[in-house]
Amino acid sequence: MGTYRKGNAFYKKSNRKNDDPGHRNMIIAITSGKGGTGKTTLAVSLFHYLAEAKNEPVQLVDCDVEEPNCALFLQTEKTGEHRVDIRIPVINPEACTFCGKCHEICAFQAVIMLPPASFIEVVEEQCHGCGACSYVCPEHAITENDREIGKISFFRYREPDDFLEGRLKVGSALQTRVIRELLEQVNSRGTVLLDAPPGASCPVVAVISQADYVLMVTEPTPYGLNDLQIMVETVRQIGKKAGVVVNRTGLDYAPLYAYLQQENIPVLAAIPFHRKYAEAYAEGMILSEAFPEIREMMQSIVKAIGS
Amino acid sequence: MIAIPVKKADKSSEMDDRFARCPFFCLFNPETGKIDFEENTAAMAPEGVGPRVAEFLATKGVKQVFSREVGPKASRILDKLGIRVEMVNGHYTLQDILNMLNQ
Repeated sequence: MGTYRKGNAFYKKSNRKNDDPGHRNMIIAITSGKGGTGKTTLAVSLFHYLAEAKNEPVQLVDCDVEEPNCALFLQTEKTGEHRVDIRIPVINPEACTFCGKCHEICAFQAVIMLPPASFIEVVEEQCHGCGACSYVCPEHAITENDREIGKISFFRYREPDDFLEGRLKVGSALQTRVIRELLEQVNSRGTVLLDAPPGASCPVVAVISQADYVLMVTEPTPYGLNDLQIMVETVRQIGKKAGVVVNRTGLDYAPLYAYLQQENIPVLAAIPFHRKYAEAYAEGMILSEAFPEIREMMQSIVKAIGS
Repeated sequence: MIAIPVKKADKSSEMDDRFARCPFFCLFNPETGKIDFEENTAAMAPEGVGPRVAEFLATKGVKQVFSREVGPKASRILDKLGIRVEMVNGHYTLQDILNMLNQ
């Protein structure tokens, strides 16, 4: 793997294990600007549809590392787990000459230094583990320790490792780093479904940038539209194909549809706002398993994305 | 040197409710009675403000801070830098604190 340091997934290029063009998979990111529009509902429904109804190779990856919840809907067996670490510098004040090079280079102001008191220390919570300080230290006074920022878990739903989950450690703010390491594990030869975090910030960009297609879930409300617009701009800047699933139709908010039409964004499915869906969801059921009409929607989504 | 977070760089200012994100610090030298104001340039940074402000105050020779609030990271670094924190309950003006210190 060349010269990168362990734990610095940030600097690694994508190493999808199936770059062999004969086994090119299709990676679909399921996103929404607004939270609670139905990303996970749609992701597990698509997953169930592909795995059960179509019996196709499929991998579901829960990338919402701050609040992963796909597992709540799936009867799985956990088969493995590994830690995601970053390398945190430890400065030896005995060897340090207080030249200030590490203090100056740190982009996150994580090095606190008071030369008259011979005090120098790294604030761990602020450190992003980039390694710049130990690189510039002329005295070799900086060593590095592993610090856990999250975990990646491997599960078996129908096939080994067909469900993966990233989970950020409470107190850490390095979501993107956990997501990048999680995406290194993607290895399906079939469809890969990435359940993205809400919003449109760095962690979401990290997910979208690995996808071939972005499925944006929205709802017909002013909030749904506002956040969809931000998502559409993000997706366009990254240059990905995208389509929309409108959830909870029937609340109808006309400006959403006017926007979709004006921007020429395809609507791949419209899921009605119905009490029976909410009840099934609350009981942890997968909508495409419980309702044939949802299964049909999954079929048309897969067909539209594939064509 | 004693540091007090204030809303304005002015003797008539009230204390600021925050520590590391206050706009100015009043630096009071109890030996000479001299009062200075320093702008808190770290106040608007997105994160890691507490430790930076603690470092800044330490370089100014501050040994004691009066504040209504101190965040966990700031508190840890202040402690390590040997700066004592006096917690203040209630709303006071800078003058109230200076009067108390001059007694």
